[in-house]
Amino acid sequence: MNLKYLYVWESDKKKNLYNTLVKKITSKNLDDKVKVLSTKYIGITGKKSIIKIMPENITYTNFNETEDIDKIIDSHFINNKVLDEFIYITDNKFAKVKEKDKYYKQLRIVLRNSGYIDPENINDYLARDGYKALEKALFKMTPTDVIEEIKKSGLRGRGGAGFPTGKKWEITKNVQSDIKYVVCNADEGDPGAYMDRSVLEGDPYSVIEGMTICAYAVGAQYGYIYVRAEYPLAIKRLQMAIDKANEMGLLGNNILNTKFSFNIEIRLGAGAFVCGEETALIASIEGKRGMPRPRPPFPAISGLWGKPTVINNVETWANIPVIIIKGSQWFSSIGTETSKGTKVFALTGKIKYPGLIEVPMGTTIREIVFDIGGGILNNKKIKAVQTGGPSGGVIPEEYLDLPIDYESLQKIGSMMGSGGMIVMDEDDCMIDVAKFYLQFTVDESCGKCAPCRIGGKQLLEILKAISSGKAEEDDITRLKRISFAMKNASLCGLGQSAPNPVISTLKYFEHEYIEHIRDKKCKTGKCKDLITYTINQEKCIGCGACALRCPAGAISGEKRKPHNIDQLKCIKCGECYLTCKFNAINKL
Amino acid sequence: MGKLNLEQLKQIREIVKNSNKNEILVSLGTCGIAAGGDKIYEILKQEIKDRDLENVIIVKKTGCLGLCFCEPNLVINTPGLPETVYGYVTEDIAYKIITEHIMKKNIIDENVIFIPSNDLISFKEEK
Amino acid sequence: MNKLNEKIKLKINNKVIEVEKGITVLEAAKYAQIKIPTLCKHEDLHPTGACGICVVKVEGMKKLVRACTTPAENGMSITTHDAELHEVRKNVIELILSRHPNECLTCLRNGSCELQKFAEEFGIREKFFKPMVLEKPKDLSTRAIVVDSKKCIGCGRCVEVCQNIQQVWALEFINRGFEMRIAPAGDILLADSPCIKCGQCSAHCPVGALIEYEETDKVWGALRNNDLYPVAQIAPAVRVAFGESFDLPPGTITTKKIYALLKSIGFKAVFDTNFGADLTIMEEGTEFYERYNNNPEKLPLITSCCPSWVDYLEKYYPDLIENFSTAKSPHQMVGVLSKTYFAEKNKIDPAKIFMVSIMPCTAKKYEISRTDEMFASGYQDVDVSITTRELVRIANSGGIDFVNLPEEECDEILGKYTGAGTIFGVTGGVMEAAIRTAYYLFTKEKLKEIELNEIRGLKGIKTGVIKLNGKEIKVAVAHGVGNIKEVLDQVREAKIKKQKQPYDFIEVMACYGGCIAGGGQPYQVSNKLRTQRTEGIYKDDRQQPIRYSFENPMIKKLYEEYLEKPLSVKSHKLLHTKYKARPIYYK
Repeated sequence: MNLKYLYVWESDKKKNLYNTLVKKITSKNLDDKVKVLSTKYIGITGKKSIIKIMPENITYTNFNETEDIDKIIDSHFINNKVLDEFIYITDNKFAKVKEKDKYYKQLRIVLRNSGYIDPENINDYLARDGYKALEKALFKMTPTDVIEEIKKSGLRGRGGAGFPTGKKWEITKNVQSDIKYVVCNADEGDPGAYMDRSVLEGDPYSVIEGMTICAYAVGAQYGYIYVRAEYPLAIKRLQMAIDKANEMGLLGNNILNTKFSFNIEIRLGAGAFVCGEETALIASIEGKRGMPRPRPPFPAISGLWGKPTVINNVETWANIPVIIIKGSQWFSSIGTETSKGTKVFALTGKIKYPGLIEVPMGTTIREIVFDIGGGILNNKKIKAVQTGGPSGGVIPEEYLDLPIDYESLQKIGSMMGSGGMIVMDEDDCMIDVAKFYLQFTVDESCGKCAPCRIGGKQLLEILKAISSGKAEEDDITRLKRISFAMKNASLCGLGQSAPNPVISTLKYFEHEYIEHIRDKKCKTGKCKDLITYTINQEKCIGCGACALRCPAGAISGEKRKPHNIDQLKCIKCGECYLTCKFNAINKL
Repeated sequence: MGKLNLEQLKQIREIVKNSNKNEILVSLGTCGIAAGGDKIYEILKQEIKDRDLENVIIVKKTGCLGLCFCEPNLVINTPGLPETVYGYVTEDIAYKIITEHIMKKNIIDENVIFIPSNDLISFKEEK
Repeated sequence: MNKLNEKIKLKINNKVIEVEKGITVLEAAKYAQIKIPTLCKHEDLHPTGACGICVVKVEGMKKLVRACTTPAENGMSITTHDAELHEVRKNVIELILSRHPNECLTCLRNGSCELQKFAEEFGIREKFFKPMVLEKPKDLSTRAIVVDSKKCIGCGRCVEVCQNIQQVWALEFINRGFEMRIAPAGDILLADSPCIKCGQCSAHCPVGALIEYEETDKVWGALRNNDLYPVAQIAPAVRVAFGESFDLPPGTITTKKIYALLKSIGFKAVFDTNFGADLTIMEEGTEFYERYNNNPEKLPLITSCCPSWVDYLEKYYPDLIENFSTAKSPHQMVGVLSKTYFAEKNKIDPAKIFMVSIMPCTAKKYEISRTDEMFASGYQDVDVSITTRELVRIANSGGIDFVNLPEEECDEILGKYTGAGTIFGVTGGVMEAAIRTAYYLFTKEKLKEIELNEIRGLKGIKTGVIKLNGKEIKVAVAHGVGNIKEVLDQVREAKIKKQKQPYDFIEVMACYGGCIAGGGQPYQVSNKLRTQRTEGIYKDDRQQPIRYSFENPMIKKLYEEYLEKPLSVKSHKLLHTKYKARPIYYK
């Protein structure tokens, strides 16, 4: 029964390694001891081929696929000796805890239960150390103890701003007030970000437990989870979780038969990205128009209905139970000097293995893209990585070895934000990227303050002009001046960070802007208005297929004679290019 | 169930920890559902019912494993085989999971994937 | 209490100053003689932080902060002006200008516009950013206030005033982002909204987006029409604020100069609304006396000379209509009498009389055709009502050197007034004037302490008890519509529960501070200005030889010769009006 499984992953499409191994296992009569299987994803990327032997969980790589195979099989399966020269161990130097994985760079704290438990069944959560943290806090710690632990852990807000969580709780605790609130910001609005959604759908109890511990620590009685209405499954599972926790006495009045009471209600968003900003979120819960208000005073002192309010992001809450159980020292051994713990990223874009990843702070972008994400799709060249969603900037190739933490990304003009990470390759146009993000922020701006309301629209119009060949020389100056005003004079984070995509693409890819403006060219072909389609007079045989297809009637010519495209009529749809079987259409 | 006190909470944990762990956990976050995971879930449930395997293994819904590129995916714990994670699960593979994996104890070639992180909760230090 | 006196030290532009704890950076800078530029901030209102021009640098803070909302802290080191800050502010102004039409020359705010001032201060010489002006026609539906959305800069002052101070909620932010505009909810016409035309929005607007419905052309038309007999009357509040537009200190009493001004531009007779105020007191005082003795279930008596207030009650508290005084407002009384009493006495064809009333108020434009009773003379009693601001423009275009005009008298027949008449312009004034006369009606004696301090001042709700003949008259004075609610809710509750009313007599003015801070007064209202103008009014009261309405000889003559007595049939026909419930939202 002691069957061993030999999993093979190789970049070779012809599966040569797999076939070799199958043959060798058979030839060495190991068929009843070893089963060879191929796998589409072995967890490690960036190598030519990897084999993993289970159940002992040994991974080998960097071996020669013809010469070293016998050595490996003989040593490992016949002599039962692990071959050190090919063992693959990763250095996970920013995770100095025993739970770190030998092979993988990820360390799943926030995602610890996601995918392992039925979120609609509280028993699953309880079995995986659920509510042990609340027990410890309620019965073995004082509120001050809890706050000290969170402070010592170094946890910083995961919503993007990175404010030290323990400090925020302490400020709220120290305000004298009969009523205090604890709020979870689950209005995840960044396009392409879905970390919070996964936590809410996969492990809603972790958020509830985190909020309950905070309520105990700061002296709050009421909690709100503000979820965007576009997450119906998350809302459903959250509500079920709240109801179940209430039923079991883990939430509500007299939790676990103590004097401590804490009630949570869900509040839905209504399709406004700006309501992810904490003061706009507060206005929304209060029933008012979701517009930010000036800070100070900060919500920790005067927030919801003027009462002290702790507002934290879903991911921050999910970290709390682990910090309480495993201790602040454990948590602070993960990450860098200034940024402790892990961060969940939604790795998307032109990457081989998109998905959610959770890495210790300090992991570099290169590691994420190549060692975790599997590198660029179709083996194209990487151009930049965009982080932080519409508030962030692009990180060009020369900065890929930057460790990820709050400060280092801001220094080069981007930010970690809530965790969106979009990988871009040589086919992505930076003006198109900036335009996409500006379209979003202009749409979502609340309109209260002039710099964001008018400045954002101006930026967008200029970017549209640039991408359609109608820009002027002065437009780069305009972009810079407007971005400067927006960054410094906008009322809230949305407006202050809306110009970041423009500023950072201008900083690192100014040549692309100049090409678009001066030469009216878009090298990637993304800006359709800048593409010119012409017919190669040598290659064209005059079949007329393109002319038939053209929706604008822009192609003309006699039968069997080379045709011509009238540029004034051409709408750049590209149909002719797709139709021509003779490669006679030039796309410039 | 009624409101718990500390003792009862501890008891529940013990009971659940020691219970039968034979289950298929289908990733059904919104992403999993969008990829067709709920269909897979239904197929598995129906097959297990039809073949009277309800006492051997149950099917559960979970959240997202974060491995979006290979959705629908699922985790399966069945007697006689180590815990296995399948990705790129088509309806075909779903049936194979019943016939091959559960009934014949054959791990299906090509579809196994690995979760790239230690399980923080059930982590056991190696000796 | 200690917190208020606690002092803190901070540095502004390297100058160390000591200020009280609790004030903002903007206020603290004033102590260092530094004016941080602001656009959306208004002295009357809580800061919203909308424009972003007041940003300053604070040492130790990464981002710039808004001086108008950031509290000054001990040890702060602030820079208010440097090259970078100038660049930020200039760019913000330019952005605002890109969404603002180039209409200064034909705009009513030419010369008084705050945005214009900034464009000048920051030396804007070209529109560097692409113009993106909103195309939207003006909303003239109320014929009192004009909404010109394309000029709006989104400062939010009007919304603040309408929602939080007046609590009428006629204006709101609609749409979001670039499409954001200020309009009534549902983007309906202002006339279909709860708007009570008080004009506070236009008094606070920094630009020409909310402005009074200009009717100076009608006035000039009448003055230049030889067939007409133009007559004018001025409200009490106008005389202490008009001079501000000619650099006179606020509160300067310029009554007789205004008479001279009106006469010199062509008005054939100049009356004074204060006469009408005295008349209102006669009618209303008698009304109160009657009700108190014969119909106490109709108490409290509520004053009705403020048309915004009348509109508000008709919409929101129609169940209290029976408590209204049926007396018209003073200028309506002068209006109707000018076309009957005055016309008859002087043998002028009333059809030719063109009555212009100059008011601190935009709602009067709505009042003059509000009901049929406003045509009691057989013609429209008041043909045009213009605001103080419009009179300033008339004076400026009439070629008058106002400050040096010699004083003149008005036509006493409808112009002689007592101190009680003039205090109508301030909050508490109507009540005080009424008490002065009511006291006499009840006791046949003159009230000795006629300056009733407990109902004077800027407190939102003031109450007092007047003792006469062993009775106690409980009075209440409310100003600013947001404050009125509390009093009205008490009255309504007592009515429903059939309990004793908390008050017998209530005075209400829709504008905070009273008419002296009305929607049509010169710009830059603030509590300081309110106090200064109020002082002017009380001074006018004190320097009048007669301070009781019933002692006004011209009033006595009017009753003897024409009206017989207060509340007579003729008085009722000419000087009283009716009310009806109106919907808060039309359609």
